[in-house]
Amino acid sequence: MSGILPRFKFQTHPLPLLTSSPSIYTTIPSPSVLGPAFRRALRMEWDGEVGMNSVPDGVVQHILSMLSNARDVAACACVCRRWRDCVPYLPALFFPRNAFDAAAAARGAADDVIGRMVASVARLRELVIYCPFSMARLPAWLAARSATLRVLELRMDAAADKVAEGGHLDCIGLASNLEVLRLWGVSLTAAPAWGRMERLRVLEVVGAPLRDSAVRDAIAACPNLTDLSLLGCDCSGTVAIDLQLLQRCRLDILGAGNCSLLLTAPRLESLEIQGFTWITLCGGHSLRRLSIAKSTGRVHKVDTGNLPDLDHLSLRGVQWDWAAVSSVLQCASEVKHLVMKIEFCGDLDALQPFPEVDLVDFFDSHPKLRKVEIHGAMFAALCQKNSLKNLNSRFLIPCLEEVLITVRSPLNAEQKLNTLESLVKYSVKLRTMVIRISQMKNCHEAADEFFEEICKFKYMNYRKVRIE
Amino acid sequence: MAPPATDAATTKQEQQHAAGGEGVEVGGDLRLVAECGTVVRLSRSAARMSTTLFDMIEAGCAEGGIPIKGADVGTLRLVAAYCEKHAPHYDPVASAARLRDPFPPFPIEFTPASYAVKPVTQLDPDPHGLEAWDRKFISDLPDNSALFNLIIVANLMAIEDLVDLGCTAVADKMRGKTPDEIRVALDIENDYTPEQEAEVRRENAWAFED
Repeated sequence: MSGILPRFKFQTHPLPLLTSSPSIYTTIPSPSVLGPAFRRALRMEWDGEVGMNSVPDGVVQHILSMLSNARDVAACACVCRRWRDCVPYLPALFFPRNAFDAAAAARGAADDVIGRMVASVARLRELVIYCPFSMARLPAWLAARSATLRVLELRMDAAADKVAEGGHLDCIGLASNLEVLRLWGVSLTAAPAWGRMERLRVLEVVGAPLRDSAVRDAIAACPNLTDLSLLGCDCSGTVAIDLQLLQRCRLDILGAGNCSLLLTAPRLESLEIQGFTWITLCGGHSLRRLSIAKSTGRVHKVDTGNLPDLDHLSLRGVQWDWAAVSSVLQCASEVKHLVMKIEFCGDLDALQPFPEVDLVDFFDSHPKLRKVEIHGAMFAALCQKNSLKNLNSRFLIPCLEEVLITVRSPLNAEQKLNTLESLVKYSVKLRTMVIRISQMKNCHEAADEFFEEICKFKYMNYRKVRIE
Repeated sequence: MAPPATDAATTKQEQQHAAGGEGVEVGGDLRLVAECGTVVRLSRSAARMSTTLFDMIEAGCAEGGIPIKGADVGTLRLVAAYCEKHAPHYDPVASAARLRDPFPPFPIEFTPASYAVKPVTQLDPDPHGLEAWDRKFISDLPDNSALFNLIIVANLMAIEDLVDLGCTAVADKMRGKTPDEIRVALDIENDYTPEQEAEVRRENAWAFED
């Protein structure tokens, strides 16, 4: 075998095209080693400088398409004629917040520049404007690029001339082929007259006082949405959304009022809502991720229907009706990751702790739980109604790997320690348990004793348990 | 045994002999021939990444040496290294969709427990370490000339991912620079007449005169 190598190392290829000396560098670059010797080899083998000028036009176009910041585009237009000729074919323009801070006449100059650049990029697909601009100029820009524009994102609160009514938003209907629309700081008290935006797939509206009727009408204009995000909105009454293609939805409602949500979305995969008091979801059978929160006030009723595909469930709030909590937990029997951070229960205005939740029943009815975060009232409610002796010896928590518990009060110390011990004992796959002890309410001996007990528990299970 | 095809990449043959495994050429690696005649081997699975080569394999004319006009050995070897590294994880549909969108959605950060509207399954962004390897691959290139050669050859061989990688690297060298700086960095000839240049600079002065 060794006799073969030296003979062929320096032979040249028999093809007639051969010219220069064969390479004596025989190493094939292995993926992990492009070391200095190899680089020297490369330098020796090239015969000349290859510059940008020898790159074909299509590739120059491709390179310039990767720049979207308006400043970079403008700078490139000045470099050489060939580059300036590529500008009409660029796909995107992004005007960042500080694009025009330095300009002397900021407002007027900004609008002129935006107008000129939008005009020069004939096939503009994506337009993002974060800097201040005049709403009055927007219709002209959109009309000019309506055939090709697909993505539009505007910071309306930066607009120089804010109009009280939503009428100025009607011009967005001019861009009839829009697929993605994101609006920041818009005010939508009445539904905008967009006409039917058949191609709109993604709609995000952030920080606007929305009326429910406005929401309904706006969404009726976009029947093919797959992503809907209404954040920081100021709704009251009922929000009814019916979107057959919706896959991801985020709704965040401000305000102390009681708002109700009726959501019909058979293809929904991810839902995150905050601020609703009554929630009804039709068609949650594809839902994988559900997060319900209410930072002030109460959650009265949650009706989701069965959720067989749910992986991730998060329930947060100050006060939930127990019926709402238990109905969601029952529907989410396949959940793998559970976060519960609810302070209190109670049907009326009185804040009450959770009713008792049997540990065995809970983990039996959610056998696929892998990660659990329990804060507040839920942990205090976990108990073992069956005494330890009666516990079925085949009881197991099969999949649980990570647990995070927040303990606030030393009441019922023995029950809580029992729960911790049972969790460690019956979870065959447990890797970490983190116990957060925060804001102990009672500052007397009971708290100190409790803390000592927990430390003892931790030392006995030091490999898995950690205290923060 | 007939003498194996002569090529400078004999260490690969050594490995094949040593492994006592596959035969030397038939049904196995493609042989790409550079301008100077040197042959660079490329396995069939890696050649899938090049649309040109893939079509040739399908059409059955990928036997024998495949001349790559205008490509020098160093660049061909780099291209081969890239293809070999990426071949096991290559997904033609995904690569067509990825990097075509210069505007990834801007994430919206809100308190307390809000996440951007993201796909439900949070995939590991770099599961095979390919992005890190790509970064090193690009940063190991000795100079701009090498980079442009790479892009030209990848373009010739229709390897979309590698063309994108190279173009992104070039675009990164341009970001945030004034026109003069770009000309210096990429060695570009200014073909404006003085009047044209003055006019275009006036129009775009806002971008680079603070």
